[in-house]
Amino acid sequence: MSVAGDDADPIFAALGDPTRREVLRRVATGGEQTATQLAAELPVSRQAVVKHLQVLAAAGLVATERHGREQRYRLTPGPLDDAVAWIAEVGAAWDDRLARLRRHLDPDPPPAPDLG
Amino acid sequence: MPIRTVTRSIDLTADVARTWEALATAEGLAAWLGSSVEVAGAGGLLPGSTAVLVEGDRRRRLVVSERTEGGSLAFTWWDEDRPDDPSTVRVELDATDEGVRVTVTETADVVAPLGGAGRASLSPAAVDHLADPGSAWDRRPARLAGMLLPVPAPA
Repeated sequence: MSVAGDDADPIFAALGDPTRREVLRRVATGGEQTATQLAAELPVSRQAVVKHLQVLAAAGLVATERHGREQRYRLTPGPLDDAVAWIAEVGAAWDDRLARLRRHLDPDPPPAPDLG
Repeated sequence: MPIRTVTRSIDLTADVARTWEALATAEGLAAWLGSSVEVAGAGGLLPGSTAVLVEGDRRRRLVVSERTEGGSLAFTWWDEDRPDDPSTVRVELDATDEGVRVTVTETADVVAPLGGAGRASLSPAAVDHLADPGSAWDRRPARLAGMLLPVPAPA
């Protein structure tokens, strides 16, 4: 498995946003889903989820399939799947853990920026 | 840089001593990293010590590889049912003007298949040994060294 040069840039740029990583992690672990289903489990609007999915699709990380009136998103099969899924899953897990650490040590932090 | 590496940082207003306690003691880790952290033997999370960590529905084994008091802790860990998929976590703590910065780096370890090319490979016995928190640490280095399988370097 290898990732090199220009091919990797859009992938790592797409993975640079925590909400996008969480969207990708849910697509990777939950299988084919619509933007509405993804938005129901995330603290952002459906419109924001669609924008994140468009960035992930442009990077080749997710693909869309139309089922009637529904547009479904799935992880793109390919040689990068394992590494990308690992980065998305492990990154999202540390986001959760460090949020718990912050709540444990900093019970009254300044308001977090809107992730939408 | 290995492809399978994740780095995250957060800035906290807590002081260094309290943060270090949360990062480097079983009781501290149990408050945020997992619902329980059980260290085998006495002495706490020192290099070579093993622990079982429960995080949600996952049970993870970890072996501490490095500890710099007040500064960093590194360990290798894996899901109990996936001993073939370990990764190494390094947690670093740096004082800032407002408090402290915590940086975590997790890197998937390369475990070459038996007989394959790579850095080194652990035999199943070595994995069992590492996964057994009841093993006596004073016997561990010699036993582990004997279980490491030499693997030819790639041409």
